Amino acid sequence: MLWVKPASNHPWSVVITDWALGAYLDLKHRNVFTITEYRMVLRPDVELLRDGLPSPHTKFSNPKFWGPAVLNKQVLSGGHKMKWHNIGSGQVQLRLPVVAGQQEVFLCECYEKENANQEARKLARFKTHMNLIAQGRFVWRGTL
Amino acid sequence: MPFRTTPEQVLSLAGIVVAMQKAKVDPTFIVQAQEVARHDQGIFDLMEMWRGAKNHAERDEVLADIQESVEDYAEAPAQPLEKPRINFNDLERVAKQVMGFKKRLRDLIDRHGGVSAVARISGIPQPSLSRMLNSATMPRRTTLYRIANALKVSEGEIATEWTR
Repeated sequence: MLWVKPASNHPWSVVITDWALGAYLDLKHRNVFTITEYRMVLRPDVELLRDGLPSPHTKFSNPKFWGPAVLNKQVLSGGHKMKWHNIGSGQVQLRLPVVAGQQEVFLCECYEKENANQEARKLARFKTHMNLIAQGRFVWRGTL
Repeated sequence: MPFRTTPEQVLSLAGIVVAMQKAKVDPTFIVQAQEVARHDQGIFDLMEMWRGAKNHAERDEVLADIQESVEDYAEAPAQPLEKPRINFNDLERVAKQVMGFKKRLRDLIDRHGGVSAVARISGIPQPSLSRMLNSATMPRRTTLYRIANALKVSEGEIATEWTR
């Protein structure tokens, strides 16, 4: 079925792509975050994106929480990262790359940051996803 | 502006292709990756990361990422496509079903010589096949078809409710 942007009470839609769903499935299964963290921290933070970008929320001015996606010292235009620290019993750093569109934000492949090389690979994958989203070539799995 | 490789980048890719060939990476995979890298900067970057990787393990990780990105391209719909949503409360159940399916798939693969042997005959890079088997993400239908064709088994033997 072709995706049609749903009506919403929020100014922006937060789109869950198939890449985001796939990553969530794996992270949840590996217990990277707890259900409490999901309900109390992760989801409420991501829902703030419904108020649009640049965000009116002060949290987004904290570079430890929000920043541009950068690869090889190059800012990926329209690409951003949400960041969480000390998540789950493994106390991991979680990253969620997102792409800003026309009154919509696309959630991409969330990952556990392990080291700089692994993060560079994840951001290269994100670049591909940004490219495909720009072409309208993505799978919609719901909105927040 | 869409990414287009410069002549210098095309030459750089050619060098990477030769290096991949020397490393005995599957030729079909190399050609596919090189073709997509010419118009997708993310895959181009991954190709360069493969060349710059410090050890075999890191190269394997990059190879698996390249494979995933190439498949993302190959399977991307022509326009936005809506698939059913999965509620958060159902994620764990879905993940368990996916992992149960992958356990059966691994048993099937083991009966045909193991991951390395099946990777070789299916043309799927071994790191990609290993990563697919070990993660709870839904397998791609095309990957399952490649495995079924390589093992000469029916679609029924690799069928699952949860595919991408």
